[in-house]
Amino acid sequence: MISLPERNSDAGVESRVLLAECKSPAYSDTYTLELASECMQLMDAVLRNRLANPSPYGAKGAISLADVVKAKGQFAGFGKYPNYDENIKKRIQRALDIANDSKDSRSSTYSAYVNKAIEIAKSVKYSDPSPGKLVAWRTANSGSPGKNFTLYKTVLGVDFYYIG
Amino acid sequence: MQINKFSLRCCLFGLLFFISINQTLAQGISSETINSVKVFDVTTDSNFFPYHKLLVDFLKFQRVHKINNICILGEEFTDRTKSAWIIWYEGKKLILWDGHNEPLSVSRRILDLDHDVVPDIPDINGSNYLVTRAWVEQLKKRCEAQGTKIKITKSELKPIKEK
Repeated sequence: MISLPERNSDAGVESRVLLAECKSPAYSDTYTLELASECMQLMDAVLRNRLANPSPYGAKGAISLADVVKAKGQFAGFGKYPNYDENIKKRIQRALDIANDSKDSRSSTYSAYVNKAIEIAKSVKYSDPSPGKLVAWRTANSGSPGKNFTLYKTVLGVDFYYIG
Repeated sequence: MQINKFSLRCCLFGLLFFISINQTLAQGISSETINSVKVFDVTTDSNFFPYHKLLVDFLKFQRVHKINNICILGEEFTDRTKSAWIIWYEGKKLILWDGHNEPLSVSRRILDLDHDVVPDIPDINGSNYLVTRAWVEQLKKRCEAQGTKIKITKSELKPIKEK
């Protein structure tokens, strides 16, 4: 039985953000676990880079990932964390339900997807493969996050941006 | 005389080009980074085929209007993934749909056009969801020109009575 880490822990916050933002196995034409893993690792780098330097992103004085994700206007649906958007809760619960239903033929692919999010969220180490500091992601082709941001790459329909 | 006519035409063309560029800049479109994306038709793509049923299911759970005007623009990105933006005019929402049978209520992104739209790029300030007014207007124009337009009436949203 897979369950997410405790909601107020850093791993709990991050696993929920990753499952909310990275495409699930439902989109079988383009989804692979490798791509989902890459998407989650890049998001991990964004969150940790922001925690290391939170001021420019509305999270001055942040000491936890919860402080980072609830910065005003920064992460969709997470502005009042530990309360968060009902549709996001549904999305995450749907993934968990499928993963935990052994009779569902999709169970193994969803288990791998959810477990990958938990593994990345719990990991202390992270890597930033961009030429600068990855600090933002957006839905592909929905415009730049600001004037000093440069597009790094697009993974599973998500654009990742760095600065510096 | 012919050379003079040619010079005049060149000058006129240059002037029109200059005006056109200035108008574009004034509209702020040049400041938006729009990647070159390929538009696709959701009505003929097997992964986006159930769009009508999913829209009806989604609207049944919303505060619906007598007539719901919707436009869907399918886009293929540089990583070759496909998504569609659904513009629900009466509900003032932009819904990102990644295709397949996933309910629209569990979309990765549902934007509220009253709250999630900002005047210009600096106002986004690193946000993962806020969009500029210019981007929204451009999306609407592209959808009007190339998207799929649908009208769903309230009668389609009533549950079917059992006989």
